[in-house]
Amino acid sequence: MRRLRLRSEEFPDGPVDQVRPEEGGVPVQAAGKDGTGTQPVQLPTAVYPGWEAIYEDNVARIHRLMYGKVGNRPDAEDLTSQVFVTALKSLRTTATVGEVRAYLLATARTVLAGHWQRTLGRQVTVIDVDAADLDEYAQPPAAQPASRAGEHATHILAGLSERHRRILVLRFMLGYSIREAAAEMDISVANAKVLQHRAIRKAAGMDVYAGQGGPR
Amino acid sequence: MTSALDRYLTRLSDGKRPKPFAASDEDVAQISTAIELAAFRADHARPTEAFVSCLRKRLAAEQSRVLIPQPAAAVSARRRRFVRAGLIGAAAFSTGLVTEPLLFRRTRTGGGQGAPEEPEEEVRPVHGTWHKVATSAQLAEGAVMDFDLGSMAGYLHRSSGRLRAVSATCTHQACRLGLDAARSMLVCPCHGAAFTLAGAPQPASGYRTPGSLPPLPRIPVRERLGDIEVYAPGPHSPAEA
Repeated sequence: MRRLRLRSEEFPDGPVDQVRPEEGGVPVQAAGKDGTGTQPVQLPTAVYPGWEAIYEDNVARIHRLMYGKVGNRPDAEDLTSQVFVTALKSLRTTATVGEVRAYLLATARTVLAGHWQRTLGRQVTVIDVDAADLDEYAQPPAAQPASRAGEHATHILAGLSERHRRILVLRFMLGYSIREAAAEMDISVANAKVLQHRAIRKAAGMDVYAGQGGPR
Repeated sequence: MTSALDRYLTRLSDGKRPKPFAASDEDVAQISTAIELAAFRADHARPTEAFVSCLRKRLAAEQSRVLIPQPAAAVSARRRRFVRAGLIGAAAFSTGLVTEPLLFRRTRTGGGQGAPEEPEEEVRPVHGTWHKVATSAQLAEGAVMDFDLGSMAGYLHRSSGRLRAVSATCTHQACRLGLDAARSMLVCPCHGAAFTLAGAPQPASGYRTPGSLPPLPRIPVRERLGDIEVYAPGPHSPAEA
């Protein structure tokens, strides 16, 4: 059973109408049973004392969410700003924590969709506001996000050759520049570019050598 | 070799904002893969202090321009509405659609009316009316003052341009709360429970209950013609038109 946990330390000013946690958190509930259908998700019932508390409790969560969807900080910051500017216009602070988070997620989904429409004309990533996303979103910012992101990365890299895996790890997961990655792998910059190009195609499940003039 | 996609991926891996282009399905597959890998960088997933601070200031400025009339602590009505909103929200999530802010209402001002415009959100006294409890000039930004109408006692507080009124009766055992100005808190003399000026119970106040204390009920409050009025039981006040 998955549980949404609400931790008291997440609310520096103290939420209104708060169900006090024991041992630092309130297990609020439950999301689905395997094979028996999905149960309704019980949202946290505490209430934020004001917009500042809403912001402080959620800004890192929204930024984390957006970063995971766009992969770069400048866009993540812009989208996070859009979410709060949009949502706080309509927020009623007597709504519960769960309702606020759900509304922020719904707003974030719309904001992200608009971003992809404007920049690439296609929905590259989406926010799927189901119980799993809400569960992940509810995790405290300190507990992030390596577990799920790591699982995704491991899955993506699993079927690659060592060289393809290495160039992707260096470039996208460790943030090496192309020159640094080339030096690390002891290859030329041009070769590193080609290697990255082919590795990302392979990782995306595409034929690496299609239109490449044969295997390398 | 340096296609728009390559430039996009290069900027992405460099942590920069990628430039827009008309992406194909293949482009999308590669970009989404790269994003999933980049998402591993937990240091970038955390917002910077500078960004958090800057956005907080921006939101504070916007919030100060938009007064949100806070519904009274209409507990029963609120609960019913939240149940309804929860059901609708659950359905919306399951279908991936949220077509309107179901859980919140946008503030509407104007029309020259000081009274809340959505009376169904408020529980009002059956025979209540608006009572003048202070003048606007008496309650400057950041100020707190109490009022006592006999039938209802409370505290007024103006913060970030927003006027609030909360009950002065502790939600534990109904003792009369006092103002601890040094801590900006309302404190119960009976057992030490403390509340923020917005009515939120303070867990760090030293008082513990098996469950939680409810927040202080909000009292409908408005400003009209230079007066601050609260909605409370009793005869019509001279301020009521």
